[in-house]
Amino acid sequence: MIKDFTIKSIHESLEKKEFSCVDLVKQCFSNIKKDKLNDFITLFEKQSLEQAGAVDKKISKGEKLKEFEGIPVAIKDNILIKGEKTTSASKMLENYVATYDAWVIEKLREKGAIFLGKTNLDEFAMGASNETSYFGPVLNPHDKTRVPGGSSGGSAVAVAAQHCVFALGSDTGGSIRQPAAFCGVVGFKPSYGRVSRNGLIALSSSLDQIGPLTNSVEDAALVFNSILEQDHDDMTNIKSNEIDILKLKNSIKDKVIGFPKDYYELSIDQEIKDSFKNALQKLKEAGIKTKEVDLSFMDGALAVYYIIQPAEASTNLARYDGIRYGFNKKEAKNLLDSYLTNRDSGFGKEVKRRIMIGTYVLSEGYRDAYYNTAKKVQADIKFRFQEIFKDIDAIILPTTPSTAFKLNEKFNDPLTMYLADIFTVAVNIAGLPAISLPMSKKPLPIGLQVIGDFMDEENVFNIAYNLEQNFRFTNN
Amino acid sequence: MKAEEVKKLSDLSRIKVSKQEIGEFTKQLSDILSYVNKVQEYKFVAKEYESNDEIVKLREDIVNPKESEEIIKQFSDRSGKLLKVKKIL
Repeated sequence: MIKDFTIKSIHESLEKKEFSCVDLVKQCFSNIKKDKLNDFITLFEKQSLEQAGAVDKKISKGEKLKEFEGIPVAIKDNILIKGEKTTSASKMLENYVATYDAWVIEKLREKGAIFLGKTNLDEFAMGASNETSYFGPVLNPHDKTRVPGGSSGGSAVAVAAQHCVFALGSDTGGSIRQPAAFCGVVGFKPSYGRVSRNGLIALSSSLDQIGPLTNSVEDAALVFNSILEQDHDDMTNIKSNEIDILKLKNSIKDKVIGFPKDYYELSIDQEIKDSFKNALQKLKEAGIKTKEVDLSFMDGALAVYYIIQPAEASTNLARYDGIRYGFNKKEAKNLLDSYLTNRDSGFGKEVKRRIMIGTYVLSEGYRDAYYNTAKKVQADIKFRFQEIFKDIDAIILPTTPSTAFKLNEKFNDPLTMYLADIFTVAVNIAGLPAISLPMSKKPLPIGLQVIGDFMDEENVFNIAYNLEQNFRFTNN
Repeated sequence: MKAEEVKKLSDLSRIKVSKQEIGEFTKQLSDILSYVNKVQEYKFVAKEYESNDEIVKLREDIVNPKESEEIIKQFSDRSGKLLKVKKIL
């Protein structure tokens, strides 16, 4: 059995021939099949094993491996891989075959990654529990009666259950960080614009970002570095340099870390409050400066989010009419009827709800009250964060208000489900970078979030790395 | 929000909804809209903002004939390279 599923350790073992790449890939597939967590929609078993065989040959010849060569990787099924089905967990795209590689896929391919398959998600990334998938819910490996979080639930589970070494997900309002917290892995959302969205099926284009789910902070930084090369086909993509991995290990003694001043009054599970209090205490004991910050605007950010995101989703999903591609119910009487029936049969309920909310907040007569006001509040929230980051280097707070909840517990109450995003959405609204890392894993995992200023990933990784290494929050 | 409004919205969104769904959605959409209405009570702190007018840049529209082939394969109904749709009326 291979234990340490991190990039460096796997590479070292492969090069020392402790196990072969074929064995590693076989173990991943056998775990996927044995565990039955429904974390994958499509598996690329044949190609993966062929690729692994080629890696073994290279090793036997003593050739140096590329950065991710021989590393088994899982990809959220809303990111395009050329020639393979990309469903976004929707009946609408059940048989859609991608015609090109997403930018991030091109980058990982160049570095030799082995794509094991496409992971399950909430339909079109709309959800916080992975229960809205057309392909059925994903189960949490820590307790199969609970959800893994969402929308990147399949990716988080694949990493947590050692079905892959790392995975890519996408984060529009917490879709990487929240499932990472529920499954006890690391999940990172970059600053808006730092990673190309080219080839990511759009949910809300002004908020979406692709990012890694990994077993360590260092792995998250390595994967982030490998996908941030500028892509001229995504006009929001910002040219930026890789972060210096060596600096992750620098001391954080001179940093000032902010935390929400009223956190003990927030409606959070007691065990999460205790865990967070303990984390703060450890920071203070280690001589690190902490400072209370006012984050009372977070529920405002959630309201803004559930206006802007459905508004953009309703326009982005207008393209799915089943005519040029996607699900088509042939018996429609005329063109209008084909739109109505294809979209009725192709979309699940949550998608329909969000399209309707989006249509409402953008419609004549309501646009000013909802969408335009939300955009103004968004600008104010960005300003508030800019002010906060004048005095501190990063903010820490719990990733989620509860641990993984039971399957079906919130499924029929969409508003309660939306509240699961309360600590993660403000980050997307302000376009900031943030990482979730496990604070504790038993009985259920609890995530700690580190939020940085815009484009200040280096600080986020440096602080998260030190929390992970020096404070031993994790109890593996 | 009333049932008639949900029906109107579903028509505008090009989504067919059943009678049962209208009942369900009326309650759910009302709850969601009353929650997001919180934005009206938001207390602004900034005196002025950076301009929100992002510069819209477009990339050049270059046709890739090889990719066109792949895209055409996805058509649900076609005649040669042409996309077939249902009659409009």
